[in-house]
Amino acid sequence: MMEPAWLKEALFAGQTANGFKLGTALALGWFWSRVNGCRIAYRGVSMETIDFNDVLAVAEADASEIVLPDYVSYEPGRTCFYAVRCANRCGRIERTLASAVKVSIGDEGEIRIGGPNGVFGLAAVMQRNGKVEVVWTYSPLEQESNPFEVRVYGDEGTGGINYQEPIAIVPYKGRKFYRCERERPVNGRYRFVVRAADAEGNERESMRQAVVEVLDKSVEAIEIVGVGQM
Amino acid sequence: MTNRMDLYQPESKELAIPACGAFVFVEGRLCPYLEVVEITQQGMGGFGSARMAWHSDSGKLPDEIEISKSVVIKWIYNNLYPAGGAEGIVIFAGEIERIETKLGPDGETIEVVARDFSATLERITVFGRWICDINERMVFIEGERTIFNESGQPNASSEPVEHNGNSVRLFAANTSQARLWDCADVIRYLLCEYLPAGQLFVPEDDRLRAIAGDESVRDLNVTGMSLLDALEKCCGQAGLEFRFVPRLSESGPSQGIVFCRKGSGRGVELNLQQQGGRLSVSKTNIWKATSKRESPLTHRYVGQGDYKVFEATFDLVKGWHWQDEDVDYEKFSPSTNPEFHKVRDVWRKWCLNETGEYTSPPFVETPAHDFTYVFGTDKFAHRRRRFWPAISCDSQGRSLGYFLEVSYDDGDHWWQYMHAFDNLLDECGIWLASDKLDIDTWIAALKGVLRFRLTASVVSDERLSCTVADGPVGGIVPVVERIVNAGGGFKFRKVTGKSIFTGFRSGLVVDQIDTAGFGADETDDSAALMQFVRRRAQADAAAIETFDVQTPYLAVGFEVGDIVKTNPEDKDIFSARSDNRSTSVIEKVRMDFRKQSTQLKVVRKRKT
Repeated sequence: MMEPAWLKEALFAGQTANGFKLGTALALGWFWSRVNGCRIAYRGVSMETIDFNDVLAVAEADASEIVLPDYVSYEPGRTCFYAVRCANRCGRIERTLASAVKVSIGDEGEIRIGGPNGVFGLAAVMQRNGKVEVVWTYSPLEQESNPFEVRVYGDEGTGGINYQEPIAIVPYKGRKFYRCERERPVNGRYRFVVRAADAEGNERESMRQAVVEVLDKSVEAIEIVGVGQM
Repeated sequence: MTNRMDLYQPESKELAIPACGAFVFVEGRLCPYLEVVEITQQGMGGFGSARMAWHSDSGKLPDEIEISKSVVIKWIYNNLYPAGGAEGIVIFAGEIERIETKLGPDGETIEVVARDFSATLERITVFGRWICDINERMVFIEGERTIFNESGQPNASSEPVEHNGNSVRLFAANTSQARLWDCADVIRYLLCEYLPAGQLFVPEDDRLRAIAGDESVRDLNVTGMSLLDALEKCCGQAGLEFRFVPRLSESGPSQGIVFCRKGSGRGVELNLQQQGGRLSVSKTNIWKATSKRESPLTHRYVGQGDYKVFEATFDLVKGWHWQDEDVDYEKFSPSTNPEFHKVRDVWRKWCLNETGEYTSPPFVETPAHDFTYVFGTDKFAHRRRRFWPAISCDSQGRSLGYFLEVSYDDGDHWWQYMHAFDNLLDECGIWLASDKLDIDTWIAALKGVLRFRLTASVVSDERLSCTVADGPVGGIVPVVERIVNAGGGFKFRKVTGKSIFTGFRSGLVVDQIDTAGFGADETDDSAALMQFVRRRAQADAAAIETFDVQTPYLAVGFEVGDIVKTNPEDKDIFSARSDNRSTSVIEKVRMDFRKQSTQLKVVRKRKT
């Protein structure tokens, strides 16, 4: 069985910050002193980069909240991910990411609420009637706010998408498939971005595009003029 | 080093679980009109399929939904945890196999059935051979039968070659420089040579070899089979299983083929809380379960290979009527006697008398030949056989053929017979074929001291065999015998001590022949046959109990081949804790999206 990180650290590195927070520094790493277990908080700029070797704060095993140290800063516009793991009375620490939270700080220092989820299955299709159809669906899986409408942005063939003015707004009416038709545009390559927005206008800044190529006329079928033998 | 990953799931205290849905993509495009009805996964013999229902006001299938169009079914998951997000993970990939339309009182229903890559492999027929010729020239011979290690003899190229962008081993043009095909070689040959590149992700050679090992196949004839059946036959010999899985990679083929050894699946828990406890969906994932227990039987597999072949030196007896003997030298030559056919056997036909037909008059009375001293057993019938070339071979590995010796002094001394003779094909015997008998032979014949003996091989009535039982034998449990015909790949060829060539390998000089470097093409495939039959017994292990399990919610994590375990605190309905001699394996997974439930077929088998 793998040795706990705190055991190696306190034994070989002496009185470290982690050792102080976990209480192992008192016994120079020989003993796990929190016999009732504890909860340990970690932090990272993404879920993949949470540093589980750096203990941010420790609370009792039955604690419902963990107070983070004062030196933890929250600059405007910053997003952090926090994870909490439990340690048992022997110092064995669980390895789950089940208890995790994302904190986004707004421009004015307030906690920013994320918008609805991004749309799923976005595709743009050239219809036979010459119209361009944009298709998508929406899944409310663990969404941070309820969608109110879905905004369709397009580049009108210019290559640059105008995110200030949606070319169409589709009201959100539950979990189903949505489509938006555009009149036949002139030849070119057209890009579309679809974002769900809540009632307050918060939208998930998805950059996923649906691209459709519009041709002046469809490719004609090959006419077989004759069949001969070699 | 291990590639095992332990995942711990937090306990869910909520009893209500939101219904789960899946989305269908046809040719990479979201198809809002298709509703997933069910996805079925099976191992060899069934593989994966998906059934989708068509819902549209128009009632007419659009053009993009046609046979052989690619279908991908994605399951939604939160890709931005702990924030909210929705992304699709592929749980099924395949092609549209058929479209079923039903007209009834409820109106018209259209269902689309898609199958995984097994459908494509079924449509490809294996025939011919890709041969690695001299100077690494590769040529496809259509008329050749596709037999790997035919009759147990190697026929693979000595080195793998680069062909169609893959490093594969081909058939050898010259069998003297060939090596044995092993299972990994055969799998890669079949998948790389008969399947267009880029359609299916095939494991690299080293990964495949890590699972399949270096075990060679024997007499694997797949001529005319579908590519799927050929793979199944090859994997059956090596104790492997395979299935098709969707790939998560954005680039490359959308499906891959995965090989695994039988019984080596991962462990999954199917739990049912004890009665009286508080229901928790984290602790109970069985909603319904029915089981059928079969009566216990022991299967005894009797594997049978080729008939055993023994080499010996056989004394021959006269095969003509003694009344026809005469002292007229010219009478017994076809060039001097126009009626030679009446006496053609006199002095010329020498037989083993294995049937006893030369025992009674007018033949010289000699008992029927007793093969006991050659075969080592008296389990043989006095029936007609024939001589085959000797097993002993010269320094270049060539058989010594039919080694005929003559004695002019009633067996005191023997010399190699240097004149022409024919080997009889309908009985054990020879016929002296020279136009006129040589003088030494003629005089010895007249004196009555002429004798012949032949060193050759004879096929016995006993086959190479072995027995493997998958349970107790000799107890109260009934035993059912199953005959496993292992084909011609398993041989037994032995030079007995009754052969004059036995001494060759010890460097003796016999009849002025320098025997340095002589050997024998002896073979004993008993161990290989035992392994083959044991694998077969493993594969065909009879089910002790069959369970049909239904989960209370749609579970997508179960896979075919998973070994079922139970929590020690819960009910042991699979006898996983009470019977450590058997193991329960998931053989079929059916995800029912309408009932929001997963149905599992779990089979408990005895470990072999």
